[in-house]
Amino acid sequence: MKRPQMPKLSEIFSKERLIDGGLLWAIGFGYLVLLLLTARDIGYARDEGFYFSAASSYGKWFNLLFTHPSTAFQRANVDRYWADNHEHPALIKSLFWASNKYLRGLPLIASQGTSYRFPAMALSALCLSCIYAWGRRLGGERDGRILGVIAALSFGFMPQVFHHAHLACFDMPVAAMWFFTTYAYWLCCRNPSFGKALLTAVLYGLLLNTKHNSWILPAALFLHFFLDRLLGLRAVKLTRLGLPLSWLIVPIVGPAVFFSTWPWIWFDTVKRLREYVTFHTQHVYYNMEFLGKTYFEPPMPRLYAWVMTLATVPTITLTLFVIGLFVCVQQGLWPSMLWRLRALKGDLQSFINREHESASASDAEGTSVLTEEQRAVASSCVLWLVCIAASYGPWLMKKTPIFGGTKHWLTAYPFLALIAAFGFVYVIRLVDPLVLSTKWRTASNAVWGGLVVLVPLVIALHAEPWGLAAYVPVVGGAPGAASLGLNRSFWGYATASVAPVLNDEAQKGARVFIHDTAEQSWQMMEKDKILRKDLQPWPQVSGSDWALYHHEQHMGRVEYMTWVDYGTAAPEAIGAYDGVPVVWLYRRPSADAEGNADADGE
Amino acid sequence: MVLRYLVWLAVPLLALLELAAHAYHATRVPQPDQWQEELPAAVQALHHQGDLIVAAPYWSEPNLRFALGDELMPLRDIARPDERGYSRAIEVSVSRERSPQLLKWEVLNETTVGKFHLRVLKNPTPSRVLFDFVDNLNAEHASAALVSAGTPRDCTWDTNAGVSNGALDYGHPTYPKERFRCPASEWNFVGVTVIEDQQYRPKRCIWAPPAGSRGTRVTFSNVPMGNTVRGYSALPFWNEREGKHNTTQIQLTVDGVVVGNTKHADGEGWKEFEFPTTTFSGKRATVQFDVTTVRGAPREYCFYAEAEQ
Repeated sequence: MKRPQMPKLSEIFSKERLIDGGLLWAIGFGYLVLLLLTARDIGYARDEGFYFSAASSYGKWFNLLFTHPSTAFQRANVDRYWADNHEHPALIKSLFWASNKYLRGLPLIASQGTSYRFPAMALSALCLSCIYAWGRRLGGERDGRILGVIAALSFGFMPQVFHHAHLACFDMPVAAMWFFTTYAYWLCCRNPSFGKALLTAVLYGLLLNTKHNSWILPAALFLHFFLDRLLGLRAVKLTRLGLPLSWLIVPIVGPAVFFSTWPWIWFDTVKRLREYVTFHTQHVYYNMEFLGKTYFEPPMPRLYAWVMTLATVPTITLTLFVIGLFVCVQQGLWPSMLWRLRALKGDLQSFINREHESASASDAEGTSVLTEEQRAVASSCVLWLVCIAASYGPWLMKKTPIFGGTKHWLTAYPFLALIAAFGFVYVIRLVDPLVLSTKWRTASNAVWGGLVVLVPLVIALHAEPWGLAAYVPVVGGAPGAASLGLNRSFWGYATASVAPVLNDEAQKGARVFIHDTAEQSWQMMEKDKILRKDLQPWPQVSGSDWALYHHEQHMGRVEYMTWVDYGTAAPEAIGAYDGVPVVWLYRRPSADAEGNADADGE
Repeated sequence: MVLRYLVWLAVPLLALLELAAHAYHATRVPQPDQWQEELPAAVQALHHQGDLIVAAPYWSEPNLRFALGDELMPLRDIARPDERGYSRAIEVSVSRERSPQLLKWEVLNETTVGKFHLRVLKNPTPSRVLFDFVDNLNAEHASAALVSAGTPRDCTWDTNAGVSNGALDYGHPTYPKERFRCPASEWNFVGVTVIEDQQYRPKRCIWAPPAGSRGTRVTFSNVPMGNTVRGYSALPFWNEREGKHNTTQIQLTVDGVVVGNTKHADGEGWKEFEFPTTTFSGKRATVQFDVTTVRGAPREYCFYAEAEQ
């Protein structure tokens, strides 16, 4: 292992590096600003309410830590403040608290809710920057920039990604942390150094402390290493022990970081970890509508994840992904596989002579017919593909608990976007034989690139604040998806869309049945002046004056409860996305006349 | 070579196509306020007393209820057992979609209002309903009792009973204000409520749950009889979808003569039954429904029935 040399100042501040740095930060910063500008109208989702509450509790412990450190480490205080929402690790919720405490009031972060949401937005934006960086690195001087830009923006403007990037939840943070860890791992594989290995290990520890998706990543990395060797790519550099350097450090440092940053597991560690694992492996099943049928127990249909991907990721991005996959296979994996097969047959030499005379030649170790650069690209493609497979894998297993939809495989999408960007580069290079001036070529590339990014951008921006109901035109958009019987809402996040009606028309102190909205989310909407403070969140239909209904197929029964109780089936207001009702509001006919509802129901 | 250029050109064309398709789908269904502005007058002009009004596709029905209100779309219609009892329907369609249940009905009239297509449809084979047991569940026409070992204990009609229901997605259907209150726990009543069927669509029915060895009896007097008593049995699908519980049975007795019974197993959903009553046709009779369960736990049974010619 060579000791890396320090780059010269002139290299650091070269024009090329400045452009790349500028692009990297422009993408991340621009995305962050866009998220902040579009956050206000998105009501607080059910789980966000729980995380606000947990973050606040953890914050009390941090305050104790800063004022009475020795007291903070006592078990009673750890248990007291970290018990809240301990079914999820602590990192992101701790960031929510820190952001709320230290960043609220900064430009665009004025509201309470946005300040809690900011860390997830920032991590999402940073993820785009890192996608650019990886694409830039692999695309080389000629194609790197366009590859990086297309990959980053194609990912960021997938409508589901764009929506989840706004939320104070873990789904985008875990996608980002997964990507950071994988990228650091890859960099360490290519040019091993202790610093990179340590960075990988720390990131993996933080990933463990982000969400349980982290448990799957090691399997993906093992598989990548195995395939890298099997295909003779040998892009992963090894130590003298025959293993990648990061493998020696991550298993020690990663869990240590995880342990040290989650106080809840400092006591009764084994019991609490077991409890954490069990919560997710035996998670209560949610109801999920798919093609007109609500699934509430395993197994989920095998096609679920694939169809939902097809229905929610812009078709242009998926098309480019298919092209990119073809390129990866044709230019990297297929020759390697052939080489391996021939090698296994023992006639490697004849194969090289006969079919690959024009190939760049095998490397000194005789590892492959590809060049070093090609092998690196091929190996990274393998890594991306195994990360995609690992993200979708659980959805092909029979006993995977159902507790959500597309958000659970968001970890696959950065890699999908990178492969799509490879596809894009392949397409624009198809016309290389044409004698076009550089000016024309640059212009056409810009137009082509602009179009493939514009489509997701338009769909994503149009979808807010209804991001979970966003479907792409291939299934007929939101109306088509509703006709197909695809889920259009969960988490009760759409309350904000009908809040103006409540604010304008509800009598003072009215009781509002909040349905799928968590009470903590409701309270945050009050704090942020989205809802009037005198309105009372009410846990059941009976006794309420107004009733919200967040549509999911199986939730219909709640709407019917309201009909019989209120004596009306006519909504007072409807929040609809592209004409498709998502949330609606009932008003008890007697509500205004009697003040509060009939006391019978209480 | 040509193929290369075609692929090169196909990518931006696909992007433009997707963009155009997005613009189309984003605007093809009117927003709720457009439903409210454009539909009431147009539907009123076509509407006859007793017409069923439906939305196509079904998911757009909340928009239609929002626009037309309870008068044109009463609970009785939107939580109907089926469409057989209606002789005419008005179908309000967007994107020219059709209601699958009405595909065989004859189209009498079709008009376009903005982005809406209004079709007046005629039922080719409407059933003639002589008596709707759900509509007539009240102190005037009915009585209820819990029956243990053959001994009935009467339930009393209450027009101001405590209303209760569930929350989020669990809990029981609404226990209505007007119902027969029985000498047992709160849920053991007889009254009209709305439950969800196997497609989670609303069904208005008579809640008459049996509990273990105790059955529930609902009796209607002076019922005009036809050739059949037809109806549906169900539990809230939430309660029967796991298929883990015991079966329930409903038995029909007319003027003391048992004319039939049918069982309902978990998972069967909104299940049709039909009992021949030809021997009573043209007469007025006392009709008794007895709901029982085989063993153990109480079941949240609900049924719809009508006497048909």
